Amino acid sequence: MIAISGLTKRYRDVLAVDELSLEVPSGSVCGLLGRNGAGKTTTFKCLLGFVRPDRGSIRFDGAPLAPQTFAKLGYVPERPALYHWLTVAEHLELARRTQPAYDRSRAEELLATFRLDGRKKAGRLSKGQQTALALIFALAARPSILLLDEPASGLDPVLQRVVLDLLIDAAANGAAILLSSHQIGQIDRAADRVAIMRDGKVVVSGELDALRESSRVVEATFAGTVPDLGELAAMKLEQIGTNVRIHANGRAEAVAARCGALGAVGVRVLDRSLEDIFLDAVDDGGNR
Amino acid sequence: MYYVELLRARRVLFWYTISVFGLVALIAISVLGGHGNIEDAGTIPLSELLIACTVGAYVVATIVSTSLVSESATLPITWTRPVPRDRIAWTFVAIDLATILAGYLVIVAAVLVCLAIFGLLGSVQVGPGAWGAFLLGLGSAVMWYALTSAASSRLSAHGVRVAALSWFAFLVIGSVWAAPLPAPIHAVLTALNYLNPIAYINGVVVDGHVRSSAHAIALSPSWRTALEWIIAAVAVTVAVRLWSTREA
Repeated sequence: MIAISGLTKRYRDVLAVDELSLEVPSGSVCGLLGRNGAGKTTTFKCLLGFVRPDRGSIRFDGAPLAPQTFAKLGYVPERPALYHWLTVAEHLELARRTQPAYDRSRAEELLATFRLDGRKKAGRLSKGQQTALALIFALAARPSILLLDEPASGLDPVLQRVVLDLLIDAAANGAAILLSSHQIGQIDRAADRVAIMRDGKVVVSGELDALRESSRVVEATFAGTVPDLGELAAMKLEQIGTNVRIHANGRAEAVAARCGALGAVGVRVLDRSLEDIFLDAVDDGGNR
Repeated sequence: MYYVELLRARRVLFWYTISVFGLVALIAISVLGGHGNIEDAGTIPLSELLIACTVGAYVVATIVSTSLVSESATLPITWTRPVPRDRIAWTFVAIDLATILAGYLVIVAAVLVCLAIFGLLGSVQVGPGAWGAFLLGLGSAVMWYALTSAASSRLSAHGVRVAALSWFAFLVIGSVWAAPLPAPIHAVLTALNYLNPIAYINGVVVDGHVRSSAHAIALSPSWRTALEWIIAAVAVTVAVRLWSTREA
């Protein structure tokens, strides 16, 4: 389990991470979303001890970060960090020597999955192949905690799907996974919970199903004029002519029934996609 | 555990040895082909030879002094080993020091091979100061490594430049000191030369031979050796501390 509480990191005048609190239980994939500069990578760096937070606590399975934590933690950075003068096989040998739980058969299986040539130097791999090698490096020890910053960047769609399946599989085996990606479809597929960051803060977080449920919209069409909506007027409304969209805050069924009672000639409950939820969360006043 | 460090050291030593013995071969071909002369220099003290060979150790020291800083690009791998960072850094240092020692021995061996080719090996005289000269020369190279490592340990992209600039800095400080300058500037340069590894092997008297009449370090060889090793130990500790507490 990853537990972050009140995490704050400032770089001179820039508050990169602001009182971030987040929990990723074991067996769960948490998608970390946000625009560029929202603080995702700094959050990863704080988690790994690469930068010192100004405030807050980080715990992995109840304990603070210590060198031993890395025996059960896998990390894939945004840009693959590899020794360009080492071959793929030498990287795996390095993983074998440094990771106590390294599983050779697992590494070979992943090598075959990603179709990497063990004799090739890392510097001669394509970006996608480098990402794949970084993933193998992180996954070969079957870590129980995975921190993945854009882990599928540069991979073709088939391998992106493979990566997501690997993560889902790891979570099913009890791993706590924090996954950052700009590709919302990847998060939608792999994650069971999300945290959306804006300006260093988590502005939306929770289980994906619950977020979807709470973000459903009721669209009601009235004949003639829109009547007084009563208590519904307190909710976020968008009105175009006689058509009203009401953000139901998790009460979609009740709101739909109320619209029917108010004389709506047509009522629809609309599910919202993760992309809609994300765009709403990061909306800073039309500057998308 | 020490896999990458050992591979890097092996790579450095491989190319260094190829270069040194390539040079030996070129010299041998040139001289034996009649393009050069070998004059009988009388006896050649081993201590003198060991001090002269320090230049080769400086080359290796310069190359390996970037080993910590060159990890900047791979910190996500290096710093996610389940080992304390300072222990990782000390591992790098230990392997670098072994590489410098090996580099020093390689150039000494190359010089001896060169002398053997010219039939001068019998002129090499092992005096009582040979061991001291070895420690002095090695210490000088280690001091070079330690100072350069400390100066570059927090840099990311410019670490290699610092290593290259170390040659310029140490040579200039040593050369300018010998120039006729006002006393206050001379005093400053004398003080600076205590941080100049080259100054420690300049003007040293070993087995009765003086390499240069002018020397900035007014200490006996044994005190020079002690001081350069102390400075190296302090500088390398600073380098390890700076590297393991840096942010990435």
